[in-house]
Amino acid sequence: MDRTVPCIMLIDDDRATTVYNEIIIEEHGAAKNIIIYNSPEEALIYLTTPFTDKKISPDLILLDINMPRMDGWEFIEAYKEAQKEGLANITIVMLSTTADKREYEMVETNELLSGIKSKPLSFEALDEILDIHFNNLSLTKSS
Amino acid sequence: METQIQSAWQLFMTHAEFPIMICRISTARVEETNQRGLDAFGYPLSFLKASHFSDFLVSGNPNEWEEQIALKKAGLSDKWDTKIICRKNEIKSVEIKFIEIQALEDVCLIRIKEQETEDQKVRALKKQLSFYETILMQMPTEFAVLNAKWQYLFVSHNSIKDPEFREWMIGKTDYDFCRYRNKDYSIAENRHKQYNELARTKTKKEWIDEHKTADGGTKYVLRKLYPYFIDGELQMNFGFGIDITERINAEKEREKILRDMTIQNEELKQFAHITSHDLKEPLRTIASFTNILKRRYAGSFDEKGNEYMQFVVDSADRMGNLLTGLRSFVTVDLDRIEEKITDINTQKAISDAIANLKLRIEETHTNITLPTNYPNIKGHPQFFTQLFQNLILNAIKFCKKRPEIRIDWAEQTDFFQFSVQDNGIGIDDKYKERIFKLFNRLDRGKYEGTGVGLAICKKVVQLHHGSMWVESDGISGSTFFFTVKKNYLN
Repeated sequence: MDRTVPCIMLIDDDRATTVYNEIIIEEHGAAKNIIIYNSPEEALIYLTTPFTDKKISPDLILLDINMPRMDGWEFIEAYKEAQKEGLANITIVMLSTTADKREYEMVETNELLSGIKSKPLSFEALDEILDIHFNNLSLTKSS
Repeated sequence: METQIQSAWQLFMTHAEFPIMICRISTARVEETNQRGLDAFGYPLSFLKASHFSDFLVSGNPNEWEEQIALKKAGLSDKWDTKIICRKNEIKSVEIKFIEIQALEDVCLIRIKEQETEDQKVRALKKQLSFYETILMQMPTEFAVLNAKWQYLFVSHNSIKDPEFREWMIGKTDYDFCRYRNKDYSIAENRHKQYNELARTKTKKEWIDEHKTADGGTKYVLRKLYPYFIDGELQMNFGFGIDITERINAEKEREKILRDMTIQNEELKQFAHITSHDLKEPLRTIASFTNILKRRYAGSFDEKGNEYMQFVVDSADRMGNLLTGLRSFVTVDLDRIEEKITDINTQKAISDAIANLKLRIEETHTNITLPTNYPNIKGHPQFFTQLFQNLILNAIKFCKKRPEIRIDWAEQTDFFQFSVQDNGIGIDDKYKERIFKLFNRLDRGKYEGTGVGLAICKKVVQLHHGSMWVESDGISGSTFFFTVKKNYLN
């Protein structure tokens, strides 16, 4: 179970949440690198400028839904536009306080989204995400 | 005996409602008459007794009396119409009838029936006319009759108070009315639109007129116009005007209250949504970081510090549960109910509720007795399942021994009544209302829960136009009852 993805990006306007999620990911050991953005617009700039050895691409984005200027859904729309310019596919999981039926349905019907987890982020949630979306990662690592 | 009959006869003569006379057949001399007879002729009895009946007959036939006697004797006719002359030379048309005729004794008994004179007829007609006029004039509504050319034939007192003006209106149209009263022609135009519509459709018309009153208000008059046809030809129209200002104002007031309440209700929903949703976010942060503090820095606190931290964690937990409860409470919403009202198979609703609680039922070895058959009702399936789920869960929660639950139902005239009986701790009389209120908990700490379950149940039932209550002896369990209307729409 001790799988690690190279890089997880956290996008949430609430600093307390990103600090907390960072602690949880560190304690869990799910990622080697964690990139934190409290502004989705800035995160988008990061994602749409070319990656280098020092500026690596995240493998997983944990995205907050409820943000004031640009919410999670608007971020996804902008991300979709960026993909037309050649941005590679990144696994995106939504994080939500409510995580109600309506949100689940919206996530399920959105091809860019890989899932939704309710806040607060937990070890179990991270395990599930890694199990489902990064299973082959551990295989390649162990082989 | 003979005298008795005679005095009875005397009584009959006195009280008879019509003039009666006893005359000699041969001479037509008046022998006797009753009070009515005296009234009819206007002469005193002494004068009448000295007269011959034939003298009063003024038809011009000198042999009238003899001829009529002969006809009676022959059995051909016993009555005839004629004229009599009374006091002050008053001529009266009468019908005379032989009641009894005794030829040997030379005596006959005649009855006189006065015919109505022209004068009397006119008087009666006038009386009748004024009777109907009073009715029409005093009608509590405005009332008018119009001919097919929309000229007024009759206008009631309630329509126009001034008698001269009322008189003037006869034969006039609404245009004349507007001209005379210096009013806007649109009043007449609008009415004629209705008139034309009525003439075209040949059915009654109904509309509401708005009049500005002197004090700046508005008077609303409901107009009803009924056409009257003879052989398919429009003859007359009967128009009513009913003042419905009070009703309209009451309706407007009601609409305003409803509008205000809808806004308030919407705000309240918004408020509940915000409290239940947006407050969760910072609360979650409090809980998350207290947990991290506990995990990473527990060693740095003394025993008191750790206890205080636990208070924070527990309170945040409880508040989170309360907010979740509030959220599910506000989710039970009239808009949602009405959208999804459908046929509910109550057997399925109850078995779904049981399936949702499967684990809890198994853990507690709860035994549930179900009815042998189930009614089909109209309602919101999801909320109905939740209703049973909450009640069953409640029965399990508030029970110190192995829970025994009995679910049953009964049919009433307009409702189905359901009951969920348990063998739990029971409820004291004084709490029987309180337990249905939101966030009300009787045994805080002793039993888990947020005080939302029963509040949701009651709300679901109320939204199904039913009522909910509990019966309990306070010791050996409780029975929760609720009703649902058989036909939700009525």
